[in-house]
Amino acid sequence: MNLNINGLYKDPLFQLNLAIWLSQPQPFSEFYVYPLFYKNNLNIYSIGPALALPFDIRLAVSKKISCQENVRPDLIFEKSGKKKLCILECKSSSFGLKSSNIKQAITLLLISGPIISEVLAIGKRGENECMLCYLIGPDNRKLMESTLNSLKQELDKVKMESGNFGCFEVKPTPTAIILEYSENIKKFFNLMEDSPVEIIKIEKDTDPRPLYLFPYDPNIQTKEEQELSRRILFERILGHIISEIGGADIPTSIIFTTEKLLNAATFGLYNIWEDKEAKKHLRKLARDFLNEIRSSINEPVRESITHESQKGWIFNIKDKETHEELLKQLQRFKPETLDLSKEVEPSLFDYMEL
Amino acid sequence: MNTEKVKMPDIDISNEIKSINSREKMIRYLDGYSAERMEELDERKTKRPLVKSYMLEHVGDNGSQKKIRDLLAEFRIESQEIDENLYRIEDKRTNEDYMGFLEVFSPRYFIFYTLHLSDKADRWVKNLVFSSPDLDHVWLSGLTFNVLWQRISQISKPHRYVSILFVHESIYQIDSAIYEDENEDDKEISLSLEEEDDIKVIERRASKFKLVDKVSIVQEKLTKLQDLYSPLYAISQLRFPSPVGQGGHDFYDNGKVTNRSGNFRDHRSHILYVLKIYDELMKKTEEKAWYSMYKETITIPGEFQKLIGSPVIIKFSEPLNKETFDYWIKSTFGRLNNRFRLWGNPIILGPTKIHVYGVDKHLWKPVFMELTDKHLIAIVPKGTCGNTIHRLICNIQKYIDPAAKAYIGDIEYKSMVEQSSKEVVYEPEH
Repeated sequence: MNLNINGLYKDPLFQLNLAIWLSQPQPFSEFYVYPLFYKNNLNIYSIGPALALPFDIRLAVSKKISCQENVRPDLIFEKSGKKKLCILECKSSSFGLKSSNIKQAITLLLISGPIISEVLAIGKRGENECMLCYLIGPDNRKLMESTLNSLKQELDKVKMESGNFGCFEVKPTPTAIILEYSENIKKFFNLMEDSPVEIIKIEKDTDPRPLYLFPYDPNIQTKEEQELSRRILFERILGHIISEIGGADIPTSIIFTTEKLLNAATFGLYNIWEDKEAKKHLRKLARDFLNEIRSSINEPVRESITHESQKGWIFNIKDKETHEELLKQLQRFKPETLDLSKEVEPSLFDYMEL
Repeated sequence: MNTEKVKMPDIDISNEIKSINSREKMIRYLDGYSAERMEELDERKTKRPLVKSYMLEHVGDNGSQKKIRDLLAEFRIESQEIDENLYRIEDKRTNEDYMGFLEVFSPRYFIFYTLHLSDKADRWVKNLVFSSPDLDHVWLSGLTFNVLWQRISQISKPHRYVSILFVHESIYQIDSAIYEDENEDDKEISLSLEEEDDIKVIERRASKFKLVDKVSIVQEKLTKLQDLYSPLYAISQLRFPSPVGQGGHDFYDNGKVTNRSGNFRDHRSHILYVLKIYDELMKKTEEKAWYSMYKETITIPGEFQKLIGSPVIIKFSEPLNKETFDYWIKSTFGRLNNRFRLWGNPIILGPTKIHVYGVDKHLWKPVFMELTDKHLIAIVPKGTCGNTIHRLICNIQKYIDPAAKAYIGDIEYKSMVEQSSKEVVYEPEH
């Protein structure tokens, strides 16, 4: 196999899936990804939540410091009945004070302060403690911590309370993927393990990535990662179609909208993405993929698949023979044979299609 | 294993079933019939087939499950109600054969009782399950049988005899002749003790043997033997000694139960006990393993979603060799009909590591897997029946590694079965 995983550790999609795996229950002695978060009672509280600054904070910061009104971090973890929270943001690398990520970082720092209780509506201000943690690629932790430190000082200057902060750095050694973190993270979350922690063992000529619970992120960095994530997305869409058709009572007519397919393939994450351009891009990907599937199906079974822009893809399965033949051909379809690095061109009907 | 040597026209059995039209008649008839067969077994001259029961699972979502009548009607099988939750089953596809009786234990579990010969009954049930994505066998893995054996040894008198069948065949080892066969679904392990000159030498591990001994002896030796020889973990049939006489009830890994006792009511009672354990185990497995996005606030759609679920981890006792791994992957995902009934396009991540975002083709539900030479990890999205997990564990023990350990999240599967069996306890009705 062509193993090119240089970009893996910097890839936000890999980082997001890794962070989720760190919180998955697994036997401590037979682990697959060392369940660092699970073992230390850090559980997923929310995935991709939209968080807004309270009104008084917005008033207080206006004209003093530039930030966003709302922000959507990748994950929030909670510990000890939400007494302690961790806002986790995945980034390929650190960034400096002139970066376009600064506004988001300031907003996250503010939200990680005493207002977290109110922002999440779990208590009065100050009742819960929070730490903003960045999960970043190799050799970027010091720089990232330095940026966050500078931002905290700026917030202090304008008398705005911010939260704790820290960085998890994911990087490879010859034998394992390790996670490094600072002492303040260890103390804040009472982690039992000293940094660094081996989280996945690396085997010769083997890509160490875990199964992806979430298969796609529009911000993927490298060509290799983009191709693989598209492949996973397509496999999951195809699997969903095969499941639905395989279990159907015949005769039937099954309608797949691109939205339904994308939600099925992403555990519903598609619905909560706010990036409209990214969603448009995904819909186009899904539509093209369905077109590819349809063209691969031989006549006369192909005629049973039609597309109506206001309805979606309609699979008309009139009898058992059609059902069996359609299933057989769908199971033989190989997403790996498609051009997975193809540029996605917008179409005139992007907003109309279902 | 079919030890019945019976020659009797099927039509007679069909007619006898046809004449039974109430629960009381069915119970009395099957009770008397079982007693007669037991006498014949004692004399080693069985004249008619034994009573067999098949535990089946209705795998549709709760609430959207079809009625059993409608489900069977799709295959031109008529269910004639003879009592509440009890049906006489007539197969209209054949010569209007009366096949047996179906008792609805709960919306999720059925028991099919029959007097037909094993060959005929096994085939009939297997075809029914194969054709319907709504039905599945109740899968009792070697790990489950090991726990059931502990329950037997707890309450059975030490001098009673227990019978245990162990079946393990490493069909994915490189010399496997089965690999050449196009359709594996109809293949069952068949091992002959006879030596023939013209049989090609197949070098792979294959174990199938039966142990019949006193409960006290098995209790003392089995664990030690299992530690010495791992195929002994692959229990695929276990006899519950009958408390009302000689013989007992032979439970098979695919949910079949043969009545080798003289009492049908006791036979049914044992099935109900095992089904209750299985139901508890299923609830626990699904509750723990199902992956889904859970919304904390329902008023704001899409807000505060969290992922809940646990991976299913099957850890092999020792790494598979490269050839075996390759064979397993190729014969499972390289053909539409495969023993594991899985579909998926492997994403190759290394010499002995693949990811598959696939489908359990029995139930037509998604399942995501990492397969390596050391483990199988499965992510089961919500709605995929827990049966997928139990069947997977059963097949891994039978065909890959009899001593494999399974976990649902951080809980060992074996302890989950133990817990389930402990929860099935007597509770006074009043």
